[in-house]
Order: sequence, then C-alpha cells, then structure tokens
Amino acid sequence: MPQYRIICKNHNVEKCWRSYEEQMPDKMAEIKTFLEENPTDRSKAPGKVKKLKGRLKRFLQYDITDSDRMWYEVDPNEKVVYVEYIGPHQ
Amino acid sequence: MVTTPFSDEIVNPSELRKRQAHWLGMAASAPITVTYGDFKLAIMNRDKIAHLYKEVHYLELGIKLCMSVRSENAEGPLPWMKHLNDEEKLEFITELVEGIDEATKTNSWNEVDIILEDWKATAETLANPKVMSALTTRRSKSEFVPMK
Repeated sequence: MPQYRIICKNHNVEKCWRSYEEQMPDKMAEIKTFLEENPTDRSKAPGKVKKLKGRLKRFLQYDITDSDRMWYEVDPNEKVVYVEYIGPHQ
Repeated sequence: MVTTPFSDEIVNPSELRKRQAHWLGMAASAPITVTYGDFKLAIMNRDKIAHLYKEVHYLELGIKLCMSVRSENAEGPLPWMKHLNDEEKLEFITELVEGIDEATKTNSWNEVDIILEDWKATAETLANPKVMSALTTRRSKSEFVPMK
C-alpha cells in the first residue's frame, strides 16, 4: 500500500512522465515506488536525490539519468508528492 | 603548531622483515617510519590517509571560497556559485564550513559531499529558465493529474 499519492502538476508533466516511462520502464517504476514509499529518504536512492536549498528549499530533485531530472515537492501532512517538472537539466 | 600524525617508531627494512606482524599491527593504529637509504617512508592505515587527503581537499576548498567571496571574485573554485544570490552564498558557505568542522571531528565526510551536491543542484536549477518557470508557477488543483 503506497504511503504517498503522486500528483503531476499538469498534463504536460504527466506527458513527460509517460514518455520517460516508455523509454525506461524499469527506472521509472523504481522512481514511482521511491516516491510512493519514501520520497524524502535519500538513503533509499543513494546519490540520486538532492534536497534543494535557498529559494528552492521546498523542492527535491531526483536524478533520473546523468542528464535528466525530476523536480518535486512533498506535502508530509497530506501525504502527497507533487511532481513539478521532468526533463533535461541543462 | 601543527602536530605530526607520525609516532616515534622508526625501523629499518631488516627489523621490519624480522618482526613483520608486530610492525604492521602497529601501523594499523599509528604510522611507523621505515628508513630506506636517505628516505624515510611511512606505513600507515589507508583509511587515515584517505581522511587526511579529504581534510586537506575540503579545507583548501573552504579557504578558496572564503577568499573568492572576500575579493568578490565571481568565478572562485565553484563556478556554479554565481547562480546563487548573496543570501544563498552566505548560507552555503556557513553550511559548508560547519560541515567541514563537524567532519574533522567525526572523520565522516559524507555529509560535506551531500552539502556540495545539494547546493550544486540548487545552482543548476536556478540557472535553468525552463525549470525555474515551472517551479515558480503556482499549482492549480484543476490541472492536477494523479498518477495511477
């Protein structure tokens, strides 16, 4: 039973998710499980999760590949993960 | 005054060969010096050397960062820092220096690596207009798409 619900910010984000899912289904399944179970626990995805700082301290970043990232925010009270953007980091 | 990590245990190769287990056992906890002609070589625990190298690396980085901020050198040792505003630069350097201070006491540098990775990711995100536009646009419930 998932601990967190995943919500894409809008249809564009969801479209990106699906596109990545087609290209790398195993990796995206792994990420989905991570977000549903422990979206802030970086020990569950060593080296892949970054906690952003300063103006962006609400957000976390998951490194999907060397060049692709997912940015998300966690609402611990509502137990929701909001996926804000998925795409290349440069 | 800097204290040396080396003990007074100095042996020559013959003595080392004669009582290998004894000297190597000692070297596991404190370095021993082996004389070899005009050279003085050391046998020491690899973890201790790794720690010393990391300590030097991060202390150098900390000093260079402080100097670059003081001289208002935009580049400095971490070029990505230019994407941070003044408040964030100060927050980053404070966090880094505290992390280094803690690591010198605990011998664990993992947290320092994490501080650097998190701030680098922050700076790279700040430099990406597409991502920034997405992150700064308010979420609207009517647009939400729950993942199945």
